[in-house]
Amino acid sequence: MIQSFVQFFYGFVEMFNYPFWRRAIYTGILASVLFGMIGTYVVIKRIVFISDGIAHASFGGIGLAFFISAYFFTLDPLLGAAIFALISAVGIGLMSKEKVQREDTAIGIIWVVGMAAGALFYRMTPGYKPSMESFLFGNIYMIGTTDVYLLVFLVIGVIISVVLFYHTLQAVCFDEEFAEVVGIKTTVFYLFLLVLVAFSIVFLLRFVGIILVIAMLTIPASIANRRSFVIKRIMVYSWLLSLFFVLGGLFLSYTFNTPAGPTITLFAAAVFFIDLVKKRFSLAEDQKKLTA
Amino acid sequence: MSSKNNKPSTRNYALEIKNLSLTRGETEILKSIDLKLKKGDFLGIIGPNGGGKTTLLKVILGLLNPDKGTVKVLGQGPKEARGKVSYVPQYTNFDSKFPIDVWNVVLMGRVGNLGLKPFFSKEDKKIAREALEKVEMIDYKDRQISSLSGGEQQRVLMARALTTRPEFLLLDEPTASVDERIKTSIYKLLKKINEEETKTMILVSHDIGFLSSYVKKVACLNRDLTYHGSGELTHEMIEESYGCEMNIIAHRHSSSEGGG
Repeated sequence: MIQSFVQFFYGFVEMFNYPFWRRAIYTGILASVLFGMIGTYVVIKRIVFISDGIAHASFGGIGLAFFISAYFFTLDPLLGAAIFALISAVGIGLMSKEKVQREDTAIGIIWVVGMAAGALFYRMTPGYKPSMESFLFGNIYMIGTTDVYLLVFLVIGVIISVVLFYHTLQAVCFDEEFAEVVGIKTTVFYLFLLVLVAFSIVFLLRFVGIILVIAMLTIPASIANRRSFVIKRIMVYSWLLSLFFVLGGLFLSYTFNTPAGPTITLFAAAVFFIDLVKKRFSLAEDQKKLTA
Repeated sequence: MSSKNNKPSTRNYALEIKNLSLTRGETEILKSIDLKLKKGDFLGIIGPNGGGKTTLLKVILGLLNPDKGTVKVLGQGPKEARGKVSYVPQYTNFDSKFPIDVWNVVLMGRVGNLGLKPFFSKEDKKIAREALEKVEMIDYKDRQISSLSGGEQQRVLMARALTTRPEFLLLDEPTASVDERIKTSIYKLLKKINEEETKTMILVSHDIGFLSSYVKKVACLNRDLTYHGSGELTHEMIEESYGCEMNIIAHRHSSSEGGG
């Protein structure tokens, strides 16, 4: 027992000997703040589908960046993704504010157009390039030092914004019309929230990828939401859960030599379902006690 | 008190609506509405579902723009009057899973004054506390909003509207799905707010019986507005209102138009 415990810790310490694992761990710690804070807004404002649309649309930017780099000038794929994510965030955001009919259909179309454009440009680009899967599911080997620094800036920006606008964002999420009536520029704040979501998606592309990022923006916050109805507490619980999922997932990935993004996601999802079943079970128990 | 205007200066009007029309798609929701309210008035609006009651409130709040006509709220455009006008929406409009307690819902009325401050001032909290005391919901301060009954939620939303310290208060079906006893207490509270604090109020409701004994004026809205003037509601007025609910007096509207 003690021996396996020691081995466990040794494994964890061992990970730090490799620069890319180190960067992955730092990225994970920073990412957990975004998963906790931004994820809480994604869940309570019910913008999961919108966020997923933004994430997938950003793939178009990655493909286009490779294409432009091959034929014209060097463009970082992350910058391409950021441009596409921002355009789709503002576009989808304004569309959902204007109550366009069949909003979900429109988001679905933006989603596939981004994916199709990305795949097309990717295949049209000659020469060596990282695999498409790296961007879809993440690839911690691609994380560079710059990525970690950029993430630090984003995390600081998000923390400042959330602290400064906590009550305003809460009002905008709960009751947009009333917030507007008391003089809040609700469209500005709503778009600001979507832009933060877009940045979080792009900055974590290499970590968990386009497809899996939504899992981490929803699972921890929704487990946390089952335990509290105060937004700041949900954020803190959700951040701690994310930290647990990310570090646990990275360690599992290191130990069993599995891809990090999918491992973290499945680990989080497993806890989500266990928690769901447990909650259901304890609810049934309570009802039994009440009827007995 | 009189509806026949003796030409008071426009500044005494809390609300002036002239020839207002609003169309959504191919449906005409509001049709050439004229309405004037003096400060301190308490108008009840009745009418069938889909008659445009909520839409009219949203136009006054500046949440919807009319296609035609002018709206002046406290002598200004609806958007310029922000901060002086408050709103009690239907509580059924909310996401019942939303994580928020009563205290934070009520403090929302002070968010407009926050600016770049991250925290509410003592004054803000005092105002919120007083509002919760007024609607007798202070003991529920830490409860999740969705764990309350319909009537309790309505009273919390009323407290939230009061924390903005409005001059003009709009209420959308504040007694929907609330039992009779609570209805009476809500109407009494509204009457008290109207009389003691001389707030101008518009209330949209289905409770014709209740309305008549508490509000000062009644209008009926079914795309166009029939204004029933001031004072006590007579039996005929109520009958007419019911008639309009059944949509059979549409062509009589022009003859009974008033208030402007």
